[in-house]
Amino acid sequence: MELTYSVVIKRALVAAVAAGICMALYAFFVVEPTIDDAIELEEATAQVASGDHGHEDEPLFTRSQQVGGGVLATVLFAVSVSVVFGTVYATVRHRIPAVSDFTRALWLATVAFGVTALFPMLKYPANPPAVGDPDTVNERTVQYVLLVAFGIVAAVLLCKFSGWLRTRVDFDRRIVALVAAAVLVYGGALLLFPASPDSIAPEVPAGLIWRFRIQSLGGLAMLWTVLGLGFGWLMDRVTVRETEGTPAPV
Amino acid sequence: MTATAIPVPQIRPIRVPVLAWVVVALAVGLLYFVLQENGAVLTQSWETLHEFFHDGRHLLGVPCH
Repeated sequence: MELTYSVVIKRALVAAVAAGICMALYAFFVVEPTIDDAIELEEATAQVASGDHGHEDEPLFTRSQQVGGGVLATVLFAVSVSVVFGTVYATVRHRIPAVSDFTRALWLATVAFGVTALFPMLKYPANPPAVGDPDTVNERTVQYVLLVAFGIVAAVLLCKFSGWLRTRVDFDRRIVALVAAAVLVYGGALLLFPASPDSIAPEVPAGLIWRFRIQSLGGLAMLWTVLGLGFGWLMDRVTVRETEGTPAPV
Repeated sequence: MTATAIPVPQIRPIRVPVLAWVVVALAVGLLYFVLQENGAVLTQSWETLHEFFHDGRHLLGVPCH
């Protein structure tokens, strides 16, 4: 039986629903208390300053609606990401050098986490409410999207570079060259991309900010772990069964 | 001891229909509206989306106010 696209994408979607549910529970039980602390602080600061900050006057949604929206956002995020992930996986599967679909899926999920979550987090870390300046949100969004796009393009080019090196140097030299190139490209981008225009108000405790940042990165790590493991396991169940009937390669 | 590439089985490529990439584009569009929309595309209702998905945006590490 030939492995088809729909077999792959269905498994990606199932893994994404599992990842989305884990992420929603994590958001509700772990991250929401931190967001509440930040909003409490934001409101206390706004009352003192009584500035024209978007949060305080006539909120569009109540806090519990925003909690629901946040949970929905994580599930929509997981499902959308899995469509991209599954399609990319189906496209590059035969080019990922690994022994099984499980290892291939873990490789791709690790790269995806590194490029789309860890790398942008190093330059533009997540912030709780009460930190961002509404006037700079568009500028920060452009910076963030460009950095993620850069990370993805760089990853593709590094793969091409690896393929180019494959026929020219031995395995050891290829790995050293690839690691050096990755450090140079990603490290260079972290240095050269402009700093965020926001400065963090001194009233916001560093402990709160860092608790939130670690929780945000941890959440994304969990999402990619569940997606990668779940998808890899589901794919292995198909491909291992598929090859069982054929004699083992000599 | 020399490290060498682990021999891996050759597998056949999966045929990915063009429609799949259309769906990918839609998924990226959805990600944009959930995570990034701050008034660049929608002129009226962006704030509703922005506020509704507020907590999710913060959690997923996307710039927010």
